[in-house]
Amino acid sequence: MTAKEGRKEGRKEGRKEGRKEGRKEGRKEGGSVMAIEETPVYEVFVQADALSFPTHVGSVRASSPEFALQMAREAFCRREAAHDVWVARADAITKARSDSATLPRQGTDKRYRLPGGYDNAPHWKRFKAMAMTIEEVAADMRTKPGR
Amino acid sequence: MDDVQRVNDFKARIGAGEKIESTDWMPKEYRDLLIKQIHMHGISEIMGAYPEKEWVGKAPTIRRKLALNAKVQDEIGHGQMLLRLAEDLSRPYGRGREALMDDVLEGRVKFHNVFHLEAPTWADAGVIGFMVDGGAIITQAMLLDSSYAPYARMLKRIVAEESFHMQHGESVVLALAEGSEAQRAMLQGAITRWWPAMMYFFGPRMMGPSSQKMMDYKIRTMTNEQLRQKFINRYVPRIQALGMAIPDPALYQDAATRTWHYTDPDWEWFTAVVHHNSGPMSQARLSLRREAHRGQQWVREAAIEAGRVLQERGA
Ligand SMILES: [Fe+2]
Ligand SMILES: [Fe+2]
Repeated sequence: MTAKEGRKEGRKEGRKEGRKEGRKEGRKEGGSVMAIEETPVYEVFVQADALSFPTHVGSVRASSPEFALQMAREAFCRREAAHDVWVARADAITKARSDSATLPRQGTDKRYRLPGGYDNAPHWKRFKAMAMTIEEVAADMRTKPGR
Repeated sequence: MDDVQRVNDFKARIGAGEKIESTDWMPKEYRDLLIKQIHMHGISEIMGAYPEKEWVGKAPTIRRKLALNAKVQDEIGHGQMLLRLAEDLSRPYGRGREALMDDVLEGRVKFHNVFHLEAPTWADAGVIGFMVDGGAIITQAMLLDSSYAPYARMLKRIVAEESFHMQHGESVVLALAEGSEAQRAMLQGAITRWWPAMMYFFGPRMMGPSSQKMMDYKIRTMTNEQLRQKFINRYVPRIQALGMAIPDPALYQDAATRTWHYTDPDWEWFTAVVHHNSGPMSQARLSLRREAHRGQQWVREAAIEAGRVLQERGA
């Protein structure tokens, strides 16, 4: 065995021993070594591009927001690039489901709030004009002015 | 004991097709079934990385090496995502990530039969992607509609990545099928090895009581046999089209009922392998896991310690 190998071996052994004891004692005395489950949960939101909403994709445990971002990149962004990634501590999020009074429910007829609640096409027809849809307006905005 | 009325209300919610969130009240029985399912699934994802990890270093080309490496990384990622869910469910029992991970090292949680077996040739690496990941996709696609929403959502992500595993496995299988006689023989050898394991993969013909309860709670929606039939129906024509033989002389499809008849795998042997980690590679793979888990202990500790220091500085 070379001197180098000897050192390596020694280090390994030493570390193993030290670790085992350190971990046990650390836990017992509430020392510096924390277990992974004592670190907070961060919910992860990935925003694909500037015009999409950040979408919840899952959660990670980490000891700081910076580490949470690193974990999130490894866990959820191995393929697609992201425009942005948000992490928020799970215990900082309040959900409407936990208080059903705050939960938006489909109780009464809400069609009056929606474009589909208005059937204008037959009326426009009577005036010999075409009804408009938002899709058509949006498409129009993409063509050059004056056309 | 859970309040009977509350349990009945919960069952009514499930019956009406409602989805359950981790923060919702749930009967102990439902929680325990979910923990059992998701814990075993997560651990199997992690143990599933090992048979192919072996081949990363021996892959025939750099592209194959990159792809296999990506796949192995995905499997560990799937395990982490699923253990996060299992951990949330285990909160009332005070069992965290470390305990859930220790369970596999100490034999308290099982992992899929296929990951106890040898992968002696490059064709095995391909056939695992083709048949094992392909089989897992069949099970996971069913679970996409699970009553437990966090599991179903996470599976959307997982299935998207599994589909790459399957495509890559197929690509390896096809390259061998189009290759020399020796390559075709190697492929046939791997198919012959993996077929009986895949017949076991979906579980016994008659489901146990907990699988039955998982159906009642709509955690899963199909029986073992229905899943196995889907698998056979999908794979038999493809394997035969490659000019490969399926090692089951009793295999045939009933023309009238469309049901496949097949030779039973050695249920007893596989069950013993899974329960006692007594398969040809069980102990070797577990020791790789143990090495990885203990070997990376200092990294986890350093990450936690660094986070603490950063926070102290910030405060
Ligand atoms: Fe996976
Ligand atoms: Fe996979």
